[in-house]
Amino acid sequence: MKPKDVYLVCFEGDAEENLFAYLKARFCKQNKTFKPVQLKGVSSLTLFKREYNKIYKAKGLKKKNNENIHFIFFIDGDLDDSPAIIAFIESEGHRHQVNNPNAETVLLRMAGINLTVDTLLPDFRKKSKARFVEKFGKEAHQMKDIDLDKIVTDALFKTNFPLLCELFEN
Amino acid sequence: MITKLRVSNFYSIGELVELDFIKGGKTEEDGYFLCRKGKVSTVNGFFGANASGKSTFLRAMYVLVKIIYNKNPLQALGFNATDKKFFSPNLHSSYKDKISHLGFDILLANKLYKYDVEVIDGSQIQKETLYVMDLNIKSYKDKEVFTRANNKIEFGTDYKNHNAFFSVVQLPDTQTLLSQLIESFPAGEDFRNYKDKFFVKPDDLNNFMAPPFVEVIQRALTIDGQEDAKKKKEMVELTSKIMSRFDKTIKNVKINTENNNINVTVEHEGFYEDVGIMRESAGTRELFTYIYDIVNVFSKGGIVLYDETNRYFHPDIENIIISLFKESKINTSNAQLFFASHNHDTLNLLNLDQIFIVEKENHNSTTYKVSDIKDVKSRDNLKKKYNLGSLGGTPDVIDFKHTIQQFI
Repeated sequence: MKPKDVYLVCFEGDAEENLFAYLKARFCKQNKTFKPVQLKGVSSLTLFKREYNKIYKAKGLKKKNNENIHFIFFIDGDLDDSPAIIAFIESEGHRHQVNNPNAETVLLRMAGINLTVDTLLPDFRKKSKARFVEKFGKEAHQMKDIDLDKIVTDALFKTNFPLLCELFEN
Repeated sequence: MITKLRVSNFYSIGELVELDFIKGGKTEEDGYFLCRKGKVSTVNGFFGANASGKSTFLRAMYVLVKIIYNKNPLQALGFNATDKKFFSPNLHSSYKDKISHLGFDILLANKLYKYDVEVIDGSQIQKETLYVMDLNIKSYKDKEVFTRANNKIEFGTDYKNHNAFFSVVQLPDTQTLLSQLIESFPAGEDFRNYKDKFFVKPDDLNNFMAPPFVEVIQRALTIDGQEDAKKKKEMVELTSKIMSRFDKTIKNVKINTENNNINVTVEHEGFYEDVGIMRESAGTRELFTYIYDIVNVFSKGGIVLYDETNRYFHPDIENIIISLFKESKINTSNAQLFFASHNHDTLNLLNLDQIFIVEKENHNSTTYKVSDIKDVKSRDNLKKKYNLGSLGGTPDVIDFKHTIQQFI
């Protein structure tokens, strides 16, 4: 028999982990092995690479011959080095689901509130988090199924999380 | 020594599962002993997520031992008179009305016995067979000892003389024929001689029972049901010494068996009174209860079924206990251990064919050996591979954490 396919889902923060867990519980029809990995809020490429290498060491992985291990990065697009991080992920042959520009904005958009990036990214992050709390009365990582059920529809899931949709359905 | 196990429709096990505890080869290797059929593993570990069915495989062996050594399996398994089943079949509707199968191949006195029993609704024995292969004979092959089916019992050629007795005796359908043969018939002789060599932790394997503390100590202190002063002295000496290495303040263990009561107390250095064993730490109690059996099994041989070896012991202590079964200089009588554990350190103690990964899918527990997984090598760090998930048998921690968070 073949080794089990394992999906190492690397979350940039708690909001992404919470959102992924919700989406998986609701939409995943496959019996796949997903293992969580926390990237501890990395923002720069240097920090990202450090955490990335730590994963290999902690999991006892070699850079080659890991056909059954699939990295999935579930990260925000508003990190300081997001474009470089995304390019690095792709250069390493991994796949990513990027929340553009971040998980809070994506969820707000699903709830009918469109925020535009009209400031520098650090300021926008603060603004979107504040707007999120204003709308939902809690931070993104505190959202429960009952809250997310009200805003996430099947169609919105497919539009906003195409990679997760593919993973959960196939 | 158990070389194979067959189970179906038993608790969480649905479809028939056949496990091998034997592999080919003739070279000596720690953790195995040689017989003419190959190398029998002396240590076999079951690993998997909670509720995957690890204990169920041990429980299948436990129930087999109980039903072949007891005329009243219900009583032996600790059920009361109102209980009708001595085990539960898989309760999923897809297994309703299906027959349960329990069976094993067991090596006794260099003869390989193949025993199988089919049970309806966890209570009525429908079919029972025993075959033997005498490995002392050059051209060995399976020979029938008996077949019991549809209320008829037929003995094989070597035991035809048993037919006369069983043509007039009607066995209840809750009793195995083997339990009757073990009592006094030649066909049950090898099983009879092995009777005291099964050591189990029934509190884990059969959690419907009261804690087995007294039962285990009684067995440790008696020979053929009679209290034996030599055994008692041995047990006191051994447990006192080993427990004092566990808890450095322990000086002595005292076992009082007067008036048919067993009272165990522990003397600690500097304490103004002795401590009742039940007030000792969980690990100390565990050690006291089982260490005598475990040490004895190395010199006398036997089979140990030990569920959740990690439960009360520090991982280092657990690792030592398990590794002793692998060491041929210590395990001189080829004692065999079957254990279940959540301590992944123990994975690295075992060979690939000694690790059974248990998974439950669609209400059916199944198991496979790590040696069956392609590209896994004995030099690999199995603990890391297991934690990573590529060996299977790990819990869904994302779902678990997420569900808990819904209530916080």
